[in-house]
Amino acid sequence: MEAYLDHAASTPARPEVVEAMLPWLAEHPGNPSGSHRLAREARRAIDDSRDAVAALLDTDPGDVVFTSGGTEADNLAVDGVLGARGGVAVCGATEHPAVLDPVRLSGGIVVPTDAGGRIDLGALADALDAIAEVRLVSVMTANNETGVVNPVPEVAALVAERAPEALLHTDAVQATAWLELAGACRGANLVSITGHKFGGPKGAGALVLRDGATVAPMLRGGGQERERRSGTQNVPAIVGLGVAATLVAADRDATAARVGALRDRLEAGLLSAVPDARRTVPDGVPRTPGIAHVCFPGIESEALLFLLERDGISASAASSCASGAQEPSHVLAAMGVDRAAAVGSLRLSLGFGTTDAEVDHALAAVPAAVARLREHAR
Amino acid sequence: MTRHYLDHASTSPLRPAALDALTSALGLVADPGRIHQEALTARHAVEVARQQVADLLGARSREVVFTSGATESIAMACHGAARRDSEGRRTRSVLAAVEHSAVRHCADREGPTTVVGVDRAGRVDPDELLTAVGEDTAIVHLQWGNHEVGTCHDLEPVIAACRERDVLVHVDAAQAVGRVPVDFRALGADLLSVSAHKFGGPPGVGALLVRRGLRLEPLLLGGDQERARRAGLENVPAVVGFGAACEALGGGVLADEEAESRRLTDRLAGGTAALDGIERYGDPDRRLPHLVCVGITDIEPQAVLLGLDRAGVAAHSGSACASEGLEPSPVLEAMGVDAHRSLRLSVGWNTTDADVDAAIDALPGILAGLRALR
Repeated sequence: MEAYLDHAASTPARPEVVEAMLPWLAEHPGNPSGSHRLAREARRAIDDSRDAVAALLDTDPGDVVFTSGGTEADNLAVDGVLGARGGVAVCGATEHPAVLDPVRLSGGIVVPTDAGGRIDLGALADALDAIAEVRLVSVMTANNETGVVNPVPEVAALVAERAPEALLHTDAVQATAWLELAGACRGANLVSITGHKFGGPKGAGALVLRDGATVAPMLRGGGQERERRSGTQNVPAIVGLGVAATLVAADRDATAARVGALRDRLEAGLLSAVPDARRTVPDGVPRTPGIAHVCFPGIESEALLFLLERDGISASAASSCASGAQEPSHVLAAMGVDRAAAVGSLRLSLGFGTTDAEVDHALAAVPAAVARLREHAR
Repeated sequence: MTRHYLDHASTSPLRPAALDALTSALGLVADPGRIHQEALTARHAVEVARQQVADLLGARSREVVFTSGATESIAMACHGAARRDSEGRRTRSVLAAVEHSAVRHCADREGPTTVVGVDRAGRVDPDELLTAVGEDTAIVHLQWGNHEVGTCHDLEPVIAACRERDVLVHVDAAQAVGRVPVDFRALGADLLSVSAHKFGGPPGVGALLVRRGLRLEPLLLGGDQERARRAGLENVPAVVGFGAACEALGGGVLADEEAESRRLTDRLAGGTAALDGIERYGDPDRRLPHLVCVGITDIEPQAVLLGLDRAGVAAHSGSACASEGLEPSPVLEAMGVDAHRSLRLSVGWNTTDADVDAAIDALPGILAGLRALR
């Protein structure tokens, strides 16, 4: 029995997506920048996708800049806004490294989160009051490790009040599959998404620039994407991204309800079957329905992943094996999760195709594996 | 109507081997950075592809950094080179005036540039290029062969002289890879940009070859992928397709295709030379095998392209990566020829004599019709 429970890392492209991409791989050569018929057809296909992505955010198609994925979109948001406007960037402590690294490299400010992993609005207000030169604030819509959802509209109101010259960026990569995006990102001027996190293909994402937001481009040359991102567009992947956007808009709520119930069953089962297990995210903190995040004190998650792998379960841990020693992830550290619990954390992430049987399998395998590791440690 | 695609230098259709490999890899769902079985399968596929790319290009597999395409490769080269000198004294780029717009504009983003002119055939004089290299030069950009007119450059003396002075050399080989033999090790360049879709690999993937031992600050941040040289989830299916396209050129196929491309473009050049008001651009001898560029002295290229399109022939004018806008081509301007009226015909792995015939047969009537309108 196999259980793929790593959808937050990458979720399979939906069959309709693959089907829509195939003709653009097999039959249509066409660099969309040409002026012959094939090029025009490619351009039209891209613009259909642009419409679909714009509809997700209830915005203008001209606001959509296609990129190679979420990392490029996040990098472009930080680098591009600072490049165009100068000043200082501010972001939350649990941001994805694709935001955190460029913010830090540019000398930006990192604002703490509360114990629930949400941006600390008081600390953000203090930072905005203290530094006049803030031109970009970046606060993710939903966290990639825990699924915790930030109150982006409230952040937007705060930024508008305390730092009216700053733009707000939100990394919505983990939110697209689960949340009504226009509402969840309301007030953000820049929004990053990527296809392979919501049933689209790898290799296509977008940075959406709303309200006239502009960026200094990172990739320059041919002037594609209205001079905001040069490079021949990846037509098949962009077509797939558009189809995924349309699909997710149509069935997101039903999927979220179904997968959320699976997730709740999984988490509750693990908590009752494993002594001392605890949910990483405190009760009452809003989060996406796709991620079960649990800490098992007394074990190391790398060892747990190894055992689960032998049982056919693909999962991930919110920790990295830097220099041989297990370091708790920056996300859990920011939430103040104690080290003993954090090194034994497990992320099981569910997706569109997750089944009851996969959850059953994990409910059988995970407690047994934890028990074995604890036995071994004694 | 049968279509005749003579725009392979813009993008070339996927080779069957690349299509098969890519579509089978669409099922590889996982993030190759994880440790579970699906991830290891994806990781393995990426590394096989890396070796295939390295083998075609005479590089070590670790020298291959996968990117989203040549524009990103070029941006990464420019970005890293400008930051190599920790004291910030060496930030200047020296480049030929006929470089692709990605090189010109990405170099501009990173620091001061010195642009060196070319002759009427699009050739840069290596001595003139090297004379422009000064104490503050970080990098010299010199393309392998030009994307509009096909002229190839004299790389060896430039690379040798720059190595002595510890100046990096970046070769934009986006039009050369898959068309002519490229041997990165023998060439001795520090950096070389590759695009997959220009020779029958998938769109959305390319590579920057980075000479062993050279460490550059990455452009894309936020992950340790590609040995911490390029953050972002690997585009596994596209990378696999790229590898398969490279492998398809092994065993003498590249040499056969090169000869065939040259034969077909010689036919195109011969067929157009017979027409009135046509001038051939670029170096007729030292050129890439797959493209021919001609000037039409008296007619707007857009009208010619439309006529060809109606006759089923897809062709191209100007540099016009920049969509419909028919800006004068900077390459042709630098060569001192008419930058407004060019026509580029380019062939690829599936081009036939019938495609060439279609263009040669259609052009006289199109030109005569347009001239009669005036």
